[in-house]
Amino acid sequence: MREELDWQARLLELIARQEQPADLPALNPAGLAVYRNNYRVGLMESLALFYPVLGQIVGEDFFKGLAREYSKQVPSLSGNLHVYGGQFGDFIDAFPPAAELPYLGDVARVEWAVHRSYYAADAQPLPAVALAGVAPEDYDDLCFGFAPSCAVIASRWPVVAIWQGHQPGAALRVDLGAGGECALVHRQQGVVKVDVCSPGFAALLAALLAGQPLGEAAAAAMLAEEHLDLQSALLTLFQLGLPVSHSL
Amino acid sequence: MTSTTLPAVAGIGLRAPHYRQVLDTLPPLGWVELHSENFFDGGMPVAMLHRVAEYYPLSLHGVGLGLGSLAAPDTGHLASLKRLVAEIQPQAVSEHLSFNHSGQRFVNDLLPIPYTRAALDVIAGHVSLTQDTLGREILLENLSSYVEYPGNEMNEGEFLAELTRRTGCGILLDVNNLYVNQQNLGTDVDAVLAALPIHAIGEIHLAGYSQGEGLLVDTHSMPVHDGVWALYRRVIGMIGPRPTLIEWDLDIPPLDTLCAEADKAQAIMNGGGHA
Repeated sequence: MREELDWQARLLELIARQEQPADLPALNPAGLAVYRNNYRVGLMESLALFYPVLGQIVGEDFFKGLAREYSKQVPSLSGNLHVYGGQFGDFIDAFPPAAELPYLGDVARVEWAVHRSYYAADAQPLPAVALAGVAPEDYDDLCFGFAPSCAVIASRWPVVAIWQGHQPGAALRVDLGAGGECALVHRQQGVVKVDVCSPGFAALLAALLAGQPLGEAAAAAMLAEEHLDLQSALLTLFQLGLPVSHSL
Repeated sequence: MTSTTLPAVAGIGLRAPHYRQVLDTLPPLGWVELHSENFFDGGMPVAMLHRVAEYYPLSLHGVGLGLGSLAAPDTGHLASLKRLVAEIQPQAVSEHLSFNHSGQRFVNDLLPIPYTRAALDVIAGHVSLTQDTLGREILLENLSSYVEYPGNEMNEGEFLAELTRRTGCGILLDVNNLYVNQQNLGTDVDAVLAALPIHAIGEIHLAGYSQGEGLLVDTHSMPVHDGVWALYRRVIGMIGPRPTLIEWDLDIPPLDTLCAEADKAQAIMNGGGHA
């Protein structure tokens, strides 16, 4: 069995690390080339599916270059290709040829959130009345679980306008100098939506999503937006059906 | 539960570009097959899948379990498949006799396994684990391979036959894969077919290959080639009608083209079709 195990491990390495010479005995180089091509092209095509706006912004050739480089640096860790590509935004931020378009990384983060939102499991929203039994002095310690289809991205760039401007049928009207936007990605009646939210709302949701209790999340939100109406922000979370559980 | 309750007629692989058209127009399709991994997490794709299942017999075909990976079965992937199968209750569940991982490293492809007795013991365990987890029998598909383990002790047909005997799994016979292997590797098609237990063949796949550099590549990007139709006619003559799928995954044509290919397969099953 040792030989069979070693052969599988070595074949995987040879396919994934394309610079290695084919040193397995009796391995047909043309056959290995087919697998190497399948692997690389499969990952690149997945990225192209998940990041259509990036593709429109940078054009097909540049996108292929980005995707090829990413696929060389980031190995696949799952048999399910839908989970490949989650670090594309961070990769782009650190990729010198993309430095001229500094908003690309945040656009990528929005696109990944949209992709994950579409495939996320359904979850039953928590009705606001569920909090009726919580004593006011315990509010600060409340933690919430959220629908897996929701995410928030705070950006120094108008990422929502950029994303919306590249949707089918949309007229592209983006002023890159217009300042930053925070993107709320969520799913309503089966449709993934990307909406602008305020910096305070974004900070509140980001902190709660990270598992921080309400008291700490509220402090972070007020820091991000001095005049945030906290009560109204919380109400909006519930109206959108984003919290699905709570705990003390 | 037996490995499939699909009708013994022609069906098509249903892919994203055709979801809407099929659900809006409900064309007469014998059955449809979709890739399991596209529905793993739930959400909107699963809502769509439920609608498809209302109108058509449905087969879920996995491309990522890699149960021929000798190091360890992918239990996380299997858990996702279990959730999906329990929710959808499809007429068939199939996987490939291939591997795709070793430790943390994955190659998202259908890689060939060593056809040895030692590997058979391990993979039979993975098949049984899969079937026990899902609570049903699965169909296992033969591969198109571009490399071979140098120490093979049997052919793929013999390996599949033994898996069937040990685990009760069924066989998904991909006629295009068999043809491609014959052309690329010199596989003895007669020997493979002779080894397969006819009763266990629960489904057939047909697809079009493309011409690579010195090799035929199983791209699912073309109409079914003449040589594959001829082999299919022979197989049907040997085993009788079976649920037969037209697979098309790259450069996907209009739905009508897929249906026309399915009609050709149906004509052959009806007897005497000249595709």
